[in-house]
Amino acid sequence: VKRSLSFGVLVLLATAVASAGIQDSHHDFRGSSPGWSEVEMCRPCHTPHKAIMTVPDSPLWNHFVTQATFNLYQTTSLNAIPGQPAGRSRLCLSCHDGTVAVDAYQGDGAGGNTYYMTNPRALVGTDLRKHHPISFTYDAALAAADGELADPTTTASGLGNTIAKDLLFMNQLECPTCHDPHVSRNTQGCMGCHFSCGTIYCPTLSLRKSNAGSAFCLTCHKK
Amino acid sequence: LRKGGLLAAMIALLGAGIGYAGIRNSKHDFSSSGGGGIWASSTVDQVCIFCHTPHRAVANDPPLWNRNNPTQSFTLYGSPTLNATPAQPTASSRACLSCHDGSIAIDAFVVGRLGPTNMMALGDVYYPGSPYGQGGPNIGENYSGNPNVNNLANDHPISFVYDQTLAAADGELRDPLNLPLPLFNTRLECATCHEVHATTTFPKMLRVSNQGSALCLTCHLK
Repeated sequence: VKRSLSFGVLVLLATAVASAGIQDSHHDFRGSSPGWSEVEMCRPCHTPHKAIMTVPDSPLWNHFVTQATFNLYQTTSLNAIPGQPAGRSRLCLSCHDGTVAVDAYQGDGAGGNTYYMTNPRALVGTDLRKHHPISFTYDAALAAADGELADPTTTASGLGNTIAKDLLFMNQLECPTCHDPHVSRNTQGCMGCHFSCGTIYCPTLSLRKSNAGSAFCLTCHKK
Repeated sequence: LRKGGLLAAMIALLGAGIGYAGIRNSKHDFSSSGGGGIWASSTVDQVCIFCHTPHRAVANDPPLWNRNNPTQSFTLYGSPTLNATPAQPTASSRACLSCHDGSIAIDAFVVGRLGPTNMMALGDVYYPGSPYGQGGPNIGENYSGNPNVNNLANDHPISFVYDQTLAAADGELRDPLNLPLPLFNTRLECATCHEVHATTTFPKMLRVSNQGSALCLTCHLK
């Protein structure tokens, strides 16, 4: 009986496997705990009407936008010129910088402004000096100046087209260059990530393509 | 003709494969899929993470650094004819020594680890007397049976300022202005001679060929 019970659990899990993408990912705030977005999945970030238009390239945005000023990445060997996070990256940082609550969005029935991001694995903060640079123009000129970066206009991304077409946003490298907020590579719900962890390292399905063998890093970095 | 063309294309492809240089499948590729030239992790199929992380880096010299560097003092090179002023290794060379001093395990990277390090320290694997012996990569000569040695006295000096004053004082050193090798904050570091990502095909990850001792003679006017 015990066995059949665990089999039943497995079947339930397998049913969950059918769900994909953002469903049951860390970006799915529905459900019982804590259920910030009640029954809607998209609303913490998007709205069909009266969207927030303060950030360029922010499709039907619904989450309150961070007003923080960020410390920017800089090293002596850097050719790129990172700017203050703009476009898509500012949207990500509107939760991940920790200054705006995760549930601070238009039309939040739960009252909002309650759940701040604290998990150090997810919290980026406002000091971007220890993170890969973002919000810089990544073009053929930068690749030529650096000498160890692939030309984004001619180099295949591995996703069907060039780096520039598949991975850049208005010619800029942004958080979603590497990370897919909708986790479309996730085909197994929670277990898609949590079953794939090794004892040492846990790969994330939020990456737009597999980083096995550091293949994603080496898409741009000629090392 | 068709077969010949195909063969030529295959040879060209093979040639491209052989000529390709980069960290992947090099001695510095410790990923589980990297061929294990020195050592391959059994669990981590990543190349960059052993040294770099995209987030929450420990430091930015080298960029997005993901290792805790050794903090101890090293015994430095010295000789009566030395004009340079040897200094304790800077961050640039300490990054190399975070494996090559023999006291820190290769897989002791910081961000991205779920468990404790399980790789033996480099010194345990390549201790003096092993097939790799003194010529091996254990520059600091520490290993578990021989800790706290921290010996750089028998290695080419590093982390000293290499400027025109030094060249003039020594008389047998090239003027470092327009040196075809990189200095780091005017200092000679490990990376002056070695290219850590194996983007060259020269032995010992040298930046330029040392055939005819060309690399040595780049600086030494002998």
